[in-house]
Amino acid sequence: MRRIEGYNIDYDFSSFRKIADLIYFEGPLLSHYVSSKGDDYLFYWVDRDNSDNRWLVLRVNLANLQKYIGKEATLRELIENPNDGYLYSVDVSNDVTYHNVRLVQPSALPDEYLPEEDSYYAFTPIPADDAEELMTYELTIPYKERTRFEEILHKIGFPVSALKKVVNSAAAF
Amino acid sequence: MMFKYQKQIDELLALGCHLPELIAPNNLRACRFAFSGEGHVNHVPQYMSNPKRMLQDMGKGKANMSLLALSCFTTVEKAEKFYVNLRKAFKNVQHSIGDSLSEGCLRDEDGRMTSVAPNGHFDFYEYEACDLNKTFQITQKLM
Repeated sequence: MRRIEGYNIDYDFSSFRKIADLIYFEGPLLSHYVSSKGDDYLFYWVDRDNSDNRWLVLRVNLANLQKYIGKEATLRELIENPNDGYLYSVDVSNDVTYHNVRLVQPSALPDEYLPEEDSYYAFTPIPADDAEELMTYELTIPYKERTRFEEILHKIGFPVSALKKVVNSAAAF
Repeated sequence: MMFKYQKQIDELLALGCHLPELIAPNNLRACRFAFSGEGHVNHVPQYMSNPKRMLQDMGKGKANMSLLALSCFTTVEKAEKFYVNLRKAFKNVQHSIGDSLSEGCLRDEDGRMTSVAPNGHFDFYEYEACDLNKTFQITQKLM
């Protein structure tokens, strides 16, 4: 397989748990995973040789992922703009051992590792069996609607005070 | 009749995985992706390939019986459309699933199939004596 410019690092993906296979054909090709910290990652298949399959792993935010699934953004845009500014290249052997993990800049990827410019989503996601308990949701409420939103939460019995604590701690972070 | 990969199917059943509802193909004309060059072995399920394209081991709760089936399409047009979309996302996909289309007839004695998805795709579980290398012919290059 092609050598990619980058840095060898140790990174343990074993705690990642699958949310869904977004593109599946005789095995996963693009899969959504969540880390133990709750961060969302994509595993994107790019290559293989006689001993390994190569994947790119990148952190994404749910809003961008939803844009891709909703056909408002391309897979290429996701791959070229990972949340962290870099992504991982990892080779996975036949016994599903991860090795040769490298930290890679998107600009260092060969063209054959990048989706086409018009790589809009054209598939059906397959959720993992335990996806529901792993899923998180992002909800954006316009500031001018906050009072109405709190009234709705109050009506359904949700403790608004608990939500404010979460929002405040997130803002502080 | 026994499935070709009955031992592996039994292992996955023991892990809590289920075989999907299967039906007889009834001489269905079908097509599937294949490799055109010499030295490639065609019509092998992903789980029996080397290296397998898998991200996690077949542990409890992670098993997927589909890895022991062969992906097929009901029409050439639907297979071509799926391949075009795959190629947009994965420029090297031909190295994993093949560069050509093969066509043939699925007989009841060859195995059992899942129901057909709206995109024309279905999984085919081979019986022990089935060998699609003898009944499927490559009909066109896809690249």
